[in-house]
Amino acid sequence: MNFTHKELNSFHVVELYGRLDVTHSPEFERELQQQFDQGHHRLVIDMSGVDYISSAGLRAILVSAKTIKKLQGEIRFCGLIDLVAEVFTISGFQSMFKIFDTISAATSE
Amino acid sequence: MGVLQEFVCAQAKKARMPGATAMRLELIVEELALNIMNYGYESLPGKITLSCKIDSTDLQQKKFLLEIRDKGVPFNPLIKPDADTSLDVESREPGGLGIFLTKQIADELKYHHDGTSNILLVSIHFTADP
Repeated sequence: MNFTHKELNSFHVVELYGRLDVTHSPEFERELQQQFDQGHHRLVIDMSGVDYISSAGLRAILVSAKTIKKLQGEIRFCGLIDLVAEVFTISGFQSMFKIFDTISAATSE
Repeated sequence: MGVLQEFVCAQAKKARMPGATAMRLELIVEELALNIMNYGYESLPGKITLSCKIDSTDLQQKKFLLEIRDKGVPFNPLIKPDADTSLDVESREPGGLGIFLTKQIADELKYHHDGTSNILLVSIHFTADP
């Protein structure tokens, strides 16, 4: 799993590359925790480099979202494709989070 | 986990299953295998046997039939109550989504116990790539 970071319109954007499966999701959760610890409380996660997510990935997202909610922060998502979009819809994550097509849409609202 | 997914993916590829369908199959294998490891074998080492077969009776819509066997605690995961997907971030508790995803994504799922093993039969329908 690889991550790149950038700041855009007061959002901290994390671009993910890899699989959010049982093996890699803990790494993703640690990465987000690290961002929270560094004071980044408004995050946009760009998922366009992720082609696979399982319930382990959903768990990591939910745990992180709960943490950031307590800090009055927010996580938004963009670039959901194929299986990732399908899993978000089935699990109800689609309606639980603000989802956008692109990074610029996610950071401009 | 990697070994199980690789095996199933190789079989799916041989059957010319489209990539998007193979990814869903991979998800089902991960969720069911994890469920067996965590609950069936209660995190102790145990054997999981996978076998696959392709039903090509209907050429338009083939069926990838996957059988997963384990000798863990007898348990039908399909009777687990579904997660409430309408809750918000604060009210939602982590967990319980693996079997739920499997039930939504698989075309058919059947469970039985033969006195020795838990046996789950999964069917995924697909149109083979040319």
